[in-house]
Amino acid sequence: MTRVFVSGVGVLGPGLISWPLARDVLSGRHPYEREELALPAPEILSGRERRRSSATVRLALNVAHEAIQQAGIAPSDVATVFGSSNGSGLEIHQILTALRHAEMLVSPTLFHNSVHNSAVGYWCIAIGNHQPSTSIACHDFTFAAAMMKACAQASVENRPVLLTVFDCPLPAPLHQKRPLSETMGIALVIEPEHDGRSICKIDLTWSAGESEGQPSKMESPSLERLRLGTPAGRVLPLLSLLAQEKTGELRFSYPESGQLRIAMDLC
Amino acid sequence: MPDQIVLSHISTVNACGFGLAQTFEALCQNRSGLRPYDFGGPPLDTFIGRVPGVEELAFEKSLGVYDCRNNRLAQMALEADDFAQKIEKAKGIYGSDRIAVIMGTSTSGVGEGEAAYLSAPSDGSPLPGSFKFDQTHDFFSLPRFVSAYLGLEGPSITVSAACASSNKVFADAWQWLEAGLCDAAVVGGVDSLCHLTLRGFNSLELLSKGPCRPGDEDRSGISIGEAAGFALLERDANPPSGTVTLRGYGESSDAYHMSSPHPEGKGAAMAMQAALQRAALSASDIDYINLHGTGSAINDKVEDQAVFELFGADTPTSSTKAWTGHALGAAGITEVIISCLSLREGFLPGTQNLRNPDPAFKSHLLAESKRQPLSHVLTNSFGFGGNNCSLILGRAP
Repeated sequence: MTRVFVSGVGVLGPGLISWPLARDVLSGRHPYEREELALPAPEILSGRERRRSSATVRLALNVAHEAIQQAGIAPSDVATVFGSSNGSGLEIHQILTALRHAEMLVSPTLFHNSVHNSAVGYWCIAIGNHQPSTSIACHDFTFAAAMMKACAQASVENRPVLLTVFDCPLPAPLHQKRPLSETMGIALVIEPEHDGRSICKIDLTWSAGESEGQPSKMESPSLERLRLGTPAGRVLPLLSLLAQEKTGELRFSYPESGQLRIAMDLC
Repeated sequence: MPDQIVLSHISTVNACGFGLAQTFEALCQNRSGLRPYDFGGPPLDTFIGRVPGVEELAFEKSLGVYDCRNNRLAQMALEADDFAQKIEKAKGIYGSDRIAVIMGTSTSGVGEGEAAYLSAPSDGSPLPGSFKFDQTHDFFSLPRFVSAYLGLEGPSITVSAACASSNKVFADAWQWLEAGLCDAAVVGGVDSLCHLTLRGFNSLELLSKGPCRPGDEDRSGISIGEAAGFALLERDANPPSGTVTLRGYGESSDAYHMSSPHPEGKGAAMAMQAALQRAALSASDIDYINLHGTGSAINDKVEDQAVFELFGADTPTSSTKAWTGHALGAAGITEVIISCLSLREGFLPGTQNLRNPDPAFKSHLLAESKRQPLSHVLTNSFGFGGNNCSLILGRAP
């Protein structure tokens, strides 16, 4: 079992545009109303990069920034785990389209922005963070995998870790092959020790097989659609418990036949 | 941690060898795997490290849905050095669900995406039904295929941090092993030739005209390669003499630029320093450094600065990329395996194609290979996006 503490949350999804607003919805105080998501250019990026930032980079940096601000922690001291199933999918699509032409000419900027770790690279540049950072891709299991990585790192290295999971749907024609219905990002600041900033305690275990029960789901059909509509949506049962200020045990499918279990206690 | 982490079994497939024996022989005989560009499309004036036999491989029939160049390379490395049989034994010890699968790749099976786009009649038209996105193009395809091939059911993960990917998998495995989330781990990396990277590096004017010449004053860029490699990591309180152990890892972020390293090598130095610290070793304990050493003007320059800053002018260093090419997301595992061979055999590879060492360089760059017993080796991998990872491997006394 790995024990860690959460000290900051960020949410950016359709109808859930910040953690305080998402908390009102997930606690049942406000009904869930799906709205198209606007992605403002992140304040923390400087001029040129800010204007030219892709939707994926905007999504990841905005939601990461919210969690860091909420935790009240110096962002340059935190290790970073970014998880995304599609990564820089738009840039990959644009390069694949360019490669259809006989000359096979690719834009150099497009190429360096096409690497999966470009969002975490821009995050580290924006906040001047030289600490370890990584970029993880595990299809629909990306939240569970990145969570397991972030919690293990926080516990073993005894340092705060910023976890951010985010995805934009792929453009056509890739979208038909990998359909995500929603754009969504979430972020958690995970710390090894309890302190005044802690919101909840998490005990994390992994086991094979689903014999212990079905993965946690959302009661509301529209929120359940959001949970299944994008890899970051898989976090919703955890955020719901937190919003309702309840303790409980949650299950997340990971990978094909295994299960990540999270026992959550409020601090 | 009371136990040490041992690399109990390793395997490699790269441009200069199928398996450990061929790879070591190529190193000893100065036989490079690089050849003039022959991967299709408009000609490129460069050399590549293409693995022979990928197209002819009999791909595992029951897993045909995963068939793509990247997973073909993976299968070759699983078959090399009896790796799959060794994992069968490990399953008997730990159980198939207690062995994690932690893989690095920069582009997975994007070659299948390229082919699918090419076969579509016009820009944006639907892709063919034969294109299996999840099992080939997608980043998670690699650990899915490796797990299915080996019959492993533990947690699995893809790290895609450009050219640092398959060094970083060792850090992830260390953390999962120490946290008790798994009892053993198959770590590794695979990257395969594809036009996305070939044409992308060409657009950045980073491709070497001839075979790459790391550390040379006339170096003109990288030679892109492809490779697959794996290691089984297990815990052992008393590893037998001669076993290679993972002594430490160090990671950092440049926070400087997407495709240029920090000009003073700050990130590189931080990663090496962190690895020394975790291994509880000092710079003078390192007997040899396998450099990232891509052959690009800027990479080699800043890596030299960072190495000199920490290790001075005495510690021997070299780049082995003129043998294998730069296998990008599989460069880390390829050079970990070369470092294992160095430790086992007491062999320091030189730097192939080094004729006129860059006069501005201050660290000790080996031109010729030599024999010498080694206790500790450090190996570097640095990637686009500013991800850096250094590993220290040791030879159990």
